[in-house]
Amino acid sequence: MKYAFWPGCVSKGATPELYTSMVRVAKELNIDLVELDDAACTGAGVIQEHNPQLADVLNARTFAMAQRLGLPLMNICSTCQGVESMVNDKLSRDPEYLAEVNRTLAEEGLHYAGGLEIKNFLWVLVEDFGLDRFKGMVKRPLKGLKLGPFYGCYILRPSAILGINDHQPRDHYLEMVIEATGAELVTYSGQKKCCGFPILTINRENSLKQAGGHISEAKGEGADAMVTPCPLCHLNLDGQQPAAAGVVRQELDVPIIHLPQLIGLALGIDPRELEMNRHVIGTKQMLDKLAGQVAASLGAGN
Amino acid sequence: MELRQAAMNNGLTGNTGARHTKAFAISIESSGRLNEALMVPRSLGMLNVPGLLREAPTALRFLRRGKLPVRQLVPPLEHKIPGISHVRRLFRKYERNEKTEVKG
Repeated sequence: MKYAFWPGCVSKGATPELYTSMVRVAKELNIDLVELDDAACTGAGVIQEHNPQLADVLNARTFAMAQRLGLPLMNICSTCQGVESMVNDKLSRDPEYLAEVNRTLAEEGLHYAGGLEIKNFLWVLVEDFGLDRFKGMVKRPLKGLKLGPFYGCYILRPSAILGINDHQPRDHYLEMVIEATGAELVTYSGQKKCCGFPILTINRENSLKQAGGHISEAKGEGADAMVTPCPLCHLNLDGQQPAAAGVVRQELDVPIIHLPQLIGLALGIDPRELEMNRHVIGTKQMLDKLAGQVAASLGAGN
Repeated sequence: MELRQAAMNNGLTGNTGARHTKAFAISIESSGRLNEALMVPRSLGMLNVPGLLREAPTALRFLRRGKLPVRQLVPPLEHKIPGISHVRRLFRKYERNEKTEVKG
């Protein structure tokens, strides 16, 4: 399995542990990633506000780079997935516009023919790699850990453009992956809602109330940690959690782990290699619980 | 998205949302990628001392965990993608048409 890899800006910035864990997990799963070093930011929906045509061309430029390699595109960011899917859909529905975009790309020797397959790692894992195959590789079942999913808006909405349907229930994949690791799934009403990050600088109080509310709810359902495929959600749920706890006036202390870290733990990779120590909310308690479960199961086996 | 774009096109730019959008554009035009270290100060306003002080504890937490690359705070030192000249060319080309209608 081989993909053109778009890591996104945040995995190279404020969530470096996401990039490190993805690269490590890809190696373990034998997924070959060709990183697009020269690709630009997707615009995260914000450049689309500033100048939609510019945003379309910046993304088409990335698609053309992947297509030149003859590879599908994989990302590790819900927001990147949403933006890329929307641009790809727009270009595929309007050949005249695509031709106009290509006239601009030609100045750099690039061309986008349309039709590129663009998948978040979550979708790659379920649809291309296969959960049965993954289950067969699990070395450290996460039995005893209670995990709550948190998707992020951009990988869920708009569902038609994201290819969510009965045949591809992508809005349930995170739950399926959590269960495939052997962990206990915790469900709560906020798991598919907005984390509040997009309004953090505009309305901090409401943003933190949203984040804190979701974390509090997951904790109330017994979650030891939450799992997200979105680094932007991670910034609010993990990075801003101490402030969110102040706003909701409740002790939270719920670790937020990235999807590749979840997979890596189940594959038996050392948590240090997954940079589990880089989170604002410490993961030690969760890892101790996991280690205790592993030790208990070894004891039971002896 | 279209609503904010329309608001900005009509001169409503003296607010955090518009500054955030502008900061995003500056960042990508400068390096090709999002410079998170400068997003908050640029969005809140570089002279917004109370706002910046409010964010200081979060910044320190990020710094302690190696999540805030200090060199990104200095634009000339920030990492740039190899093809940044192409990205800047796209900005030059499309910024001239900034007030065009939303397509699609």
